Amino acid sequence: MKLTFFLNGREVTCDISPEMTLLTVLKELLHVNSVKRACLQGECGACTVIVDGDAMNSCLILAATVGGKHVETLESLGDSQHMHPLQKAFLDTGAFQCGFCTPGFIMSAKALLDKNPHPTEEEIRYGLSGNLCRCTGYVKPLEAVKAYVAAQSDIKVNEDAVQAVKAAAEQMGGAH
Amino acid sequence: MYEKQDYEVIGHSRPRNDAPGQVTGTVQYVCDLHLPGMLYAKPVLSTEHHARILSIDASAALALPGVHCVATSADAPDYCYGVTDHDTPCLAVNKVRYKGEMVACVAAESYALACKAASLVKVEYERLPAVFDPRDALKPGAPVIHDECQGTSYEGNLLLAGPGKTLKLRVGDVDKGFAESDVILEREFCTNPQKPLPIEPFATLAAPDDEGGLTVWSTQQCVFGIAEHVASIVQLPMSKVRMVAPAVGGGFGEKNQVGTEPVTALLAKLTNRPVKLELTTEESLMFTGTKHPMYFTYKLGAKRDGTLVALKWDCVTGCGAYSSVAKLISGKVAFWGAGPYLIPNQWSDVKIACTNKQIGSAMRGFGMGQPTFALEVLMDMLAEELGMDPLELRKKNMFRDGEHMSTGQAIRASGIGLCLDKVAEASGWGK
Repeated sequence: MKLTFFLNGREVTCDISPEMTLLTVLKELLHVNSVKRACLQGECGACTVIVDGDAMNSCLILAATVGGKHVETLESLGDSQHMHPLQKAFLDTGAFQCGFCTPGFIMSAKALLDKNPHPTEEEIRYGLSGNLCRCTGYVKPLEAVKAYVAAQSDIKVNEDAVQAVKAAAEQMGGAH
Repeated sequence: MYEKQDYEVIGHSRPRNDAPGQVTGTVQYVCDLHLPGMLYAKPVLSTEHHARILSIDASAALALPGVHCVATSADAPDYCYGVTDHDTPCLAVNKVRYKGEMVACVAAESYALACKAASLVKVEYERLPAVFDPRDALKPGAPVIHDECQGTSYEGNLLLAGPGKTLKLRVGDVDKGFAESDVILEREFCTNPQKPLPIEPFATLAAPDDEGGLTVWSTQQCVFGIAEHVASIVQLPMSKVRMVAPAVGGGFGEKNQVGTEPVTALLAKLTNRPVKLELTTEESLMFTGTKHPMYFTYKLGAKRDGTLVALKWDCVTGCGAYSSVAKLISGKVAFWGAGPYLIPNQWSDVKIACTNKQIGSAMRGFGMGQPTFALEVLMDMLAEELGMDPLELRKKNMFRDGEHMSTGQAIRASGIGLCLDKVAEASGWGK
């Protein structure tokens, strides 16, 4: 059967069989690098992708169910020259060791932050709870997401300041 | 004493070379490698702890279109691999020695097809009595697990290590030492067989090249040690076998020995196609090793002032169904069973027993953790018995530069006193 969906914003079509999981399609047919194959039973979260805004274990989703949907993998965020601030936060915090679970962690964080840009620590913990790490643990990824949220809030404050300055400048301009 | 400002790297945070690739997802692990014409492998693992293999019927699996091969030991040369003792076949020969041992392996056009084919392979077993506790394995009448290597690698289930069959250390006179002791403690300790369980399961990709050679990408950390076994299985000179270790998704010791490389190489040879074998986490739990479980009996004698006088201890460790790194691990145990302490009279004996459990694996400390746990708990018990500060007890007996360890090695720069002081300070010891 034919399956058409959007992978990182690009429409893709592939020949699948009904029992294929989304993970099988992403790894065996489309050779997506960042998605990791590990437990195949939804335990570890290393294959986490975002499907229409929700973080999901791609090993548990039948590929046939994502027809027409938007699937995001870590490749959609940024490359080493143009990193997404969330990737930068994981990098700066050192929130990984062997790196095998890292793409899944970042995608879970991304799904959380897309819906809730200012999560509490509890919400971040819950958002990352589907991802297992065996090297670094969970403190560093938690710190990475908190650092990202704090930095985004700073930028927002700065943007507010910029807006205020602009408005003031306009008023002054009007006074001329 | 140098402080961190004296160094450029030590004590400073430096970016890792592979870090940008880790957070952008471009780093490649074995599961990310794909080759044109690549086949997918799926193992058939033993469902029995100890059993004779009566028959393997792969006809239904081979009848599926797209199934290229179902390898069994009949397809492999008569070769066993191993670190110290060559006792491990790449596919079970005549009998299985643990639940999870690989009996057959399928190569097919897709992973789903390989899974279906593997489920159709019928293995008929005749169950044999099994033994799981290493202490039971050494008792008379225990089922003998390795019938073939008797006298060379095993005596019954005892894995022969060193000229005395077990690892022994004798220093001074323990009987005299205990006679001179004011306090004697005798305790037993055991440690359990933990799984290292990295998130990345075992995987191997093997591909024949145009020049009659073979390239093998593996999740193992020390692939060069595996090359000779791969070469022997595919019957090529080592110069024709190229081993590649891409990024490793965690190991914790488990990826320190032979894994799925020989069988994957065999499949690549039999099909003349690139073959990838990726275990699932569940299969990894069954097929791969555990930390060696150990059973210790310790007897420690000390003077009233805390001076250690005599130590007598023995250990039975379970290596699982095959020897792998058991002798190297047990050597460490024999070496470190007396800890970082100066004890004039010592007697110890470390025995390695084969059981119908998963193959013992290196895991976090390579045999250091088990005896350290036992002896340090015993040291705390002794401190309590003496009414002494546990830190003082250790400082009184610890290695001192200029002295010799029980094995005769000169102690030149142990640093342990400095370390204990720092730990005591950082942890607020005694406050």
